[in-house]
Amino acid sequence: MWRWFDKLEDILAIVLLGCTSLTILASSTMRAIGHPFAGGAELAQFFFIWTAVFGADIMLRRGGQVRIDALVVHMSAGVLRVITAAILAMMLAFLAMLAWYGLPLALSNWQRPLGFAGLSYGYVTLALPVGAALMFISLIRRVLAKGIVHSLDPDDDVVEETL
Amino acid sequence: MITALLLVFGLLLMAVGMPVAFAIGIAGFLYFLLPGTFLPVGIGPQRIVSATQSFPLLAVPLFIFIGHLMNASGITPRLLRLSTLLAGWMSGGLAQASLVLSTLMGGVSGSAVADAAMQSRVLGKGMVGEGYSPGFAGAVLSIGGLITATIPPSIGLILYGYLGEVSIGRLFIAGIVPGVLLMVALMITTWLVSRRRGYTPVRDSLPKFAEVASATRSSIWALLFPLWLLVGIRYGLFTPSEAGAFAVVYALVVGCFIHREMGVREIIEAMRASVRDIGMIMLIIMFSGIIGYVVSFERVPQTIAELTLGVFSSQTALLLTLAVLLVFLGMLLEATVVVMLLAPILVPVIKAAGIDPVHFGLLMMTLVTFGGMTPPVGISMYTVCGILRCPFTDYSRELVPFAIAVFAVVLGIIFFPNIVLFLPNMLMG
Repeated sequence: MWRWFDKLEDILAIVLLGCTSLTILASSTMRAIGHPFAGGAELAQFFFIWTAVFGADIMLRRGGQVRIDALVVHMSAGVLRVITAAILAMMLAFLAMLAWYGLPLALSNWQRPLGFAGLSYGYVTLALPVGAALMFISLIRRVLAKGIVHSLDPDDDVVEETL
Repeated sequence: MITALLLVFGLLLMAVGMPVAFAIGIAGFLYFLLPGTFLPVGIGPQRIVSATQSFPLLAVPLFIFIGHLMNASGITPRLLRLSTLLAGWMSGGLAQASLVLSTLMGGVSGSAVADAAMQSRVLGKGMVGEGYSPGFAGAVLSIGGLITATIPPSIGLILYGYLGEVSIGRLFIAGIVPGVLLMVALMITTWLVSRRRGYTPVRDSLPKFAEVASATRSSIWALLFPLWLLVGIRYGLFTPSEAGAFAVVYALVVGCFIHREMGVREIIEAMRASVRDIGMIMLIIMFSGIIGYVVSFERVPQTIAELTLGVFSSQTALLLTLAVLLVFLGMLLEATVVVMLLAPILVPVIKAAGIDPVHFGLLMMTLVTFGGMTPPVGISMYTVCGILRCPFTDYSRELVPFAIAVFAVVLGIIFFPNIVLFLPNMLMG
């Protein structure tokens, strides 16, 4: 079941990245030939925030979110267990709060138009509570699958890239 | 004061191994839960969402995507052939070629870590096979990424421009000269080390004109890319974000129709890799949105500006102090984090001191990106040493001469602002 869930999330994220690029391309092409259309930037930003939260969840699920383990590797197993448990508890609480406070925010934004046919700013804001809920689930799945201590370690030995 | 405590708390969480995005997010969010705060908690999520709703920021996912597409489009082997021709005849030929390759790749990719990882896979084995010590090979491959990150386009400079409200076009153009200077300084260092150790050239003779011309022709699509990018931005044909969208099409056309090395499978693979990178960087950016709000709400930049302006008599003294601070922070933290935390604070400070934010941007990005190549915490270092299986201690020892070369260039940038500024001032007025 989770395999399908993960697959669907991967596909959605890729499609959303494609939509982000295509929207910016369409809106800049129209602007370049002198027929700018309203709301192109907003639409692209709408696709983008959803790409970002799905991407963030995919990374968290794979243990790929950057962290500093220089100190952690020198800790004794017992200390590490306690500290990691505390870290996980804080992360879960944070995500739960984002979902809790993010949802009413999305609902209250439902009346605010996005400047593009029929789309509401609520769909943009909704990305945060949905993303937080997804990451909450992913984090719990990792703890169940890998145990507390290894829940934040990356799956591959090669670190993913940033800047 | 509260802000400082929150920042320290965030750093503490990072030090004990919490993912950095969460450490910043939690530290910022805590502000709204403190008893003395009269702001509603709902502002926290609101700031996270609004951190993503910016048109200039859209350049970040696009340029990450372009980097992956370009890598799949067959540009890398062509540029490698050209670099080996151009620099292979010098002492330490492969190392020199790798630095030239970093410079050429700089024009199509904006990421130091991506460049270091790609080159370690392509060149790492060859270098060790030539008799280079693994530490030296690792140091060259990793430090080369600094050139890539400085030559436009540069994801770090896009972020800095977005946060500090500085023209990204100017920053891009300003990156050209420091990028080339870094290349020269690092090549001289490589030459000195290689001569002493007897690392040999990989070519017997100087390249012939015909050979260079033919290699240039085959990599012409990669070489032209930064050129039309800068021309387009300079003449206002497109903004950096729009340029990103056109560049995606360019990479697709080159990869699919001109080089014919890219199909649907490669494109999907590039998108999959891009989504992961975007997810990682964007989570840091989104969660720093909260602390960014707290920092400006508590008027931290203004306070720091008032304090520092009294202390520092000259711009150079201020820049030198900030440079030392940035080197240390860059060594300890991930580059995106340093930029997200400090650009909003420091840009108003240096503007108040009369320093051009473009000048400071190049200085800041060079130093924090360099921090990713040094111990104790450095993503480039982890990546390269992971691929080459070289110990961090050997790597660190071999990095020292290169670090000195980088600092020489940085001092040049500090003392002679015109190294950075003359090109953008000349081209953009």
